[in-house]
Amino acid sequence: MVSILGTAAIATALLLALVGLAYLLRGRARDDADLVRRGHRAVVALLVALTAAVALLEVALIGRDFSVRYVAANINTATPLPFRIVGLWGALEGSILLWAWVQAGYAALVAIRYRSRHQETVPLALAVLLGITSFFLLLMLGPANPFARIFPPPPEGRGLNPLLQNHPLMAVHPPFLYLGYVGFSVPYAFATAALLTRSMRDQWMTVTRRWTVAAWSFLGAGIVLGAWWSYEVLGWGGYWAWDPVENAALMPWLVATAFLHSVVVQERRRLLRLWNHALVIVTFLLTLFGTFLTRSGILGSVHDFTQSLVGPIFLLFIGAVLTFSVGVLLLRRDEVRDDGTLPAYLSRESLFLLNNVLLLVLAATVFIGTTFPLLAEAVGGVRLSVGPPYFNRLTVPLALALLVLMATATLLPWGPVSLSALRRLASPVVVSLGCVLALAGAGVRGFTLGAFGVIALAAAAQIAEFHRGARGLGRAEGRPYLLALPALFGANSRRYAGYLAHLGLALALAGVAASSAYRAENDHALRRGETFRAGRYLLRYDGAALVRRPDRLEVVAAVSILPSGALEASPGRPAAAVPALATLYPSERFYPQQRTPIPTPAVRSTWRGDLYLVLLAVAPDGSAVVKAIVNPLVPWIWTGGLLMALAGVASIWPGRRS
Amino acid sequence: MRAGRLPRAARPVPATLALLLAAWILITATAPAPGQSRALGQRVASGAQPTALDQQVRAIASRLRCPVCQNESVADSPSELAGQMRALIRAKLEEGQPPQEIVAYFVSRYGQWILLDPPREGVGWILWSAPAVVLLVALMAAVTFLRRTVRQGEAAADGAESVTG
Repeated sequence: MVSILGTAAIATALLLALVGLAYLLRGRARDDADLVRRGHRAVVALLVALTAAVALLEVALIGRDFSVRYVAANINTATPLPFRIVGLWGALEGSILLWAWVQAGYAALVAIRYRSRHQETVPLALAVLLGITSFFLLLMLGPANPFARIFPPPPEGRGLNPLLQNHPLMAVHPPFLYLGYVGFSVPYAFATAALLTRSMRDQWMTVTRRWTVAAWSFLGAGIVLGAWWSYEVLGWGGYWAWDPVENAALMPWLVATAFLHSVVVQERRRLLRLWNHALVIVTFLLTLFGTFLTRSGILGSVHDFTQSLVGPIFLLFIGAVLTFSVGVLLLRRDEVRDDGTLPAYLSRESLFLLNNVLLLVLAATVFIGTTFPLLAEAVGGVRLSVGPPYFNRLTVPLALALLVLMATATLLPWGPVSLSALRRLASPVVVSLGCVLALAGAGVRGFTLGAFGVIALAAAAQIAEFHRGARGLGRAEGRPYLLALPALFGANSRRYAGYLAHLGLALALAGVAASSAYRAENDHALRRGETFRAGRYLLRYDGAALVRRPDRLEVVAAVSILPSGALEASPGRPAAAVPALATLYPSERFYPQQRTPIPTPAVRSTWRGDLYLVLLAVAPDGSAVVKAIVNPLVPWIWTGGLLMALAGVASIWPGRRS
Repeated sequence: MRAGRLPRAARPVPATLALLLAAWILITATAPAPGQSRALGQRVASGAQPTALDQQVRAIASRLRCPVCQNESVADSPSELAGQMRALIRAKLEEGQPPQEIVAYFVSRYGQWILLDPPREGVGWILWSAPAVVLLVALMAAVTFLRRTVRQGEAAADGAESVTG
């Protein structure tokens, strides 16, 4: 029953998309406001139909309706309710439905928000969005139907991949990614419509700025939450493995970041028109490419991916979007000709250009490293791996160059670089040198020391700008300094939100640098009651227990953190009698659908870093092997990353213009 | 020349910068691999506990792909096979085998695929040099763009000056 209703809902959605497309295109061609209005209504109805489809799939997932193949493949009777709900984005078909739903949501928002504005472009922009949605709807009616039936229904489903069922972050990370991915279709649609209608030459970016920043924030938050999930679930003590799935999300984020910067140059100087169009197109293509990479099965093996039609169809669609976009650009090349000028070779504007160069080369490096093994195998039959050593070697220097640039460009005013403006660099440079000296005194050496110096420079430059702004505003309006600081966001939310995002990046990279260079890890074979040391921590293994849960078995170890000087303070006292400061419970989880146990780490975070414990084995006599990792500054990564996303939100928060 | 604009001598700066950056990338891409790879969150510091041997094992293991995992290095994988491979690396190091030989042993058993940093030979060269090529092309494009737009800027500014002055 659910199958039929669900497929019908998707078919209705496709019908509505096509009808809406026809209304909008004809309404625009005939300049008939009534037809256009009907088109808008079709867009909203499309959202309703897809919401019904999502609700139906959720009903099937929550009610464990194993006659639906997707449910049988991803849920079993033991799957707890939260993860049955989350099962919507646990596999290919469900995530395509989620994509289409989010896409319809964005389209409906555009239709409602611009009901009576930008009459030239909005119908075409909506038509582009409907075209994209139709592709995903066709995919679902063809090879990726989430409502496909299985007969006879199996008595028990296979269950979600246990890794996906192991942590609540799994519930939020994919929706954020999708909200980000799909969000970039809005600036793409407006850019295309602006070209086709020869209107909104430099305004399409301003009109879609909020959408772009929102998508950028969602995607950034999605990436950080994904890294966090990997850290909390996978038990290797790392957070970024340069896995193709991670790279797929990073590439559009990098290009979108370039776009957010180069947009400013176009607004100020009427330059880089073609370039900005290209960036929007590339960002959108990369979101499609990312979905293709992660969902077509091509990563398992190049030869796997032709087993389902989804991969080839996706490639065709990416090719079609590329052809269409380039075609539109060629057709309207007179529209994207620049007529502005730059005042000097060395100006803040040219530094923005260099920022774009570096970000694009970063994205290209990630792209090359991600696709090269696929190409080498498909074309030459050579099996190669491209892993962390390659990516780190090439991206770290680029990232450091980008940080130096970020510090410089933040401090300089628009226009030509003058010697007096360069003097603003002085205090951040002094701060950075001070940091370097202090760290060198603490024993940091070599490359890591240099990296910290650059990060400190970048952070100090942002703080210096906040300080200069707050002092200036305080003087101009007679406000006390501490009140003027938050008022900066009201005065120029875009600029200071940008600096806040820069600060977040510096924080996150400080965490990356510290945890890469100074992670200390050791495996400890322990008897019950035995104490051991990990970095500054004194720990005691208190034994293990078997815990039965509805969907799994768990072997849980208890490891207590003792005051680090406890043993020396009273040498006579047995370690077992020392009261614990806290207890951590790393565990191994056994799921019926997986042969090997999943180690679930226990993490204790302070601002200085993490103590990260992984239970590797427990013997019948209760002795255990525990991996202890001391990972400095890791919480800075999450803080910095989420600060960047929040900065994005702050810059588009409505109603704070003054 | 008006105040605020840098003297003409400052102009080759973008080109010089371009060359410097490209050189940097080329050097980092072609320099021999150091003893320890700087995989994010992977290196063991010279703390109190991990020994020099531990570090060597980890350095080699983080360059090798775990054959039975999805995109995990031998150093990070909790799988049994990866554990055996780490033990083998340790044994070979204790026998006094140099790291290159140990890596070569794994390559001979599993193929080039086992290496997480592909060798800089054959098609590997394309992989390692492509980013530097992209950087050069992008910088050249940026410089060309600057030449075009800034020259126009001067012409416009000079024109404006002659009108007002």
